[in-house]
Amino acid sequence: MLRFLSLAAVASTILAAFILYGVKDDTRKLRSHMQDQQRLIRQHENDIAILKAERAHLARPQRIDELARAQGLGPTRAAQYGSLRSVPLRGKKP
Amino acid sequence: MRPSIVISPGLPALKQSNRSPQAVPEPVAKTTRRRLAVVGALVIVSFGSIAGQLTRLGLRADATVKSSIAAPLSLHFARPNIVDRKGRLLATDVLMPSLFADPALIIDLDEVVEQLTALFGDLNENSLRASLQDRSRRFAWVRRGLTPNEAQKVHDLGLPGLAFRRELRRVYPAGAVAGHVLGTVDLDNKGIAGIERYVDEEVGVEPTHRSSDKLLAPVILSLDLGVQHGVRTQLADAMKRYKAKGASAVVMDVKTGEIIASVSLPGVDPRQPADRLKASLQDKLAGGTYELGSIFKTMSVAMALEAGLGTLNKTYDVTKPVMVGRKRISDTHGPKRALTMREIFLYSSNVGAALIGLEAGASYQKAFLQRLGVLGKIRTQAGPVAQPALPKYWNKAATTTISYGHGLAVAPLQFAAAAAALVNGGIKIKPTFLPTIPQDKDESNREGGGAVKDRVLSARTSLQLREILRLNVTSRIGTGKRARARGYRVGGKTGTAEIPGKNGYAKKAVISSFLAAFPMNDPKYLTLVSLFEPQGTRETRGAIAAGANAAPTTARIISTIAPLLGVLPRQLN
Repeated sequence: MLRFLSLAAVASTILAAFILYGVKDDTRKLRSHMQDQQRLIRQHENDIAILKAERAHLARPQRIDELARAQGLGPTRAAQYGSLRSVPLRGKKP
Repeated sequence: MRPSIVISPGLPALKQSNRSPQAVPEPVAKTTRRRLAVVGALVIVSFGSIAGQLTRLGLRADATVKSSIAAPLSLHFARPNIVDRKGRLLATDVLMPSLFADPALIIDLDEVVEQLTALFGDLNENSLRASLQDRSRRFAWVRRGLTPNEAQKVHDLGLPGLAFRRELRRVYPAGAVAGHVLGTVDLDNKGIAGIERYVDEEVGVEPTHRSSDKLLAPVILSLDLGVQHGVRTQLADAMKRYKAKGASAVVMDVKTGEIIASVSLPGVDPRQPADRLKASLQDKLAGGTYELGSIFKTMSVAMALEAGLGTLNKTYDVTKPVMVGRKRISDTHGPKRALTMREIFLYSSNVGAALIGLEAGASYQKAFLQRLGVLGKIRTQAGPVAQPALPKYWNKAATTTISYGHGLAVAPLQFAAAAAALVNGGIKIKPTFLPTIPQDKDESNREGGGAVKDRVLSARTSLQLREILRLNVTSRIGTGKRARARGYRVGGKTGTAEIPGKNGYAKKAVISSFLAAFPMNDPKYLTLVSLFEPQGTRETRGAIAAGANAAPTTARIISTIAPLLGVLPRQLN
């Protein structure tokens, strides 16, 4: 009985070592994976920051102003505003 | 009886034993064999399992895992983004390559210096050579903050000893449009002027490697990029049109003190920190004090009404010049007859303003201006505002000249903030570059309401000032009639101040300003436009007075920005 217990203990130790090693290896890989992802996130964050800056640069008023004027557009004139009342109602069908 | 087999040196006792096999009893030998078999099996199983485990792990190895050597990043200060009131990006951080050299690894110094100076035209050849000559050093910056394009070009040179390090750099996507307000940062991304400095001192920066986008909440300014650009464009146009040496304009919310636009030309570029050191590029709104001339008459009339000297219909005899000591004050324009207070304002009579000032008295005038905030020391988030230059003695002479805007130099921004109280119902406001939190309806600083301590003027006086300011633009005799912006109710006052020089005031060098508010039925915004040393042109028929240049500039500015500010034109308002 005792012997069986010893054997079982040895076997379970080996099994535990087996599992432990597996877990440890998984952890190492996950950590490395995580670091990779984190670096990727930082890289993407920086890319996003650059893209946002580029978008803001493209949307800067100086540029839009020039482009709009080239299209013949200009600032809204006061006369371009109208009230709803000045819009003719839809005429009745004949 | 089989002899026991010696299978292992682990049992030396058996091997070296001289005892006959018979000495080992049968059950013992059997037990031994069984034990050996078990041990052997265990050894095989354990080695097998290890082999199996390794095989298993080897087989499912993740192919995407790479060896990871992080690119060297120097520790930096991540700064929050700065955005305008509508969330448009004004300043942000990005990682940019910086070029450094390891002098010990450089093979041909001459070639390196030659190639680099050819690539970067403004790189100083001698200092570069000096910094790379010392081979005991292992690190020397060559240039920081390269564009990706430049970095690629350096990389393509293939010179040994050169390498990159990625650093956080501040970029200003909107360019120089709000240079004076934003300020600038130094090479290590620390704010050294303007809002950037405020960010360091009040908001906080984060020592880190990464871009700040996710890390820090953006700093939202009260500026509106569109309005800022509109004002800047119109000012630049005015500078050209009237051949002025400089120009400045501020647009302020009269109820909250939020600065919507703040432009001073010639401007500074936040990307060029050296710009800030040039006196010619100083911020004219907050960095310098000027005698602003007749726009001060708005204060004088407000003072007269507030002191109860009379109504707008009270008449003053302005036909005779006012003598204060040896100083003679007379009017060059306007009708030669007695004028009402309203007409004094419309004709911009210096004599009339002087009489009002004298009637109120020096101490009342000083106290009144103090209460409005013209004389105190103020600061905004962009830094301190230049302190007003007060007369040495606030005597009779000072009182008369200050009544029409001479003898007291004040920063335009400070004057604009004080003037806001004249049109907003009498509530003192504090100029700010940050959006104010909308207050509770019951406590809002609307006309008639507001905390008592902030009230510097009665609502009635403010109402009367609105009337004459509007009249000054609509009336045929008003000096501000060219400030009429089609469709919008603009009111304002002109001011043409001669610039004091070494030998008294210069006649031909003036600062012409226009203080305006709109829409005049319920003023929301105030503008103060100043042109520095404008010249007479054909358009102005040779005139250099504010009515001929600053007033029409204001009209153009208001026509441009009113739609952006959501101010509806007259027919809908």
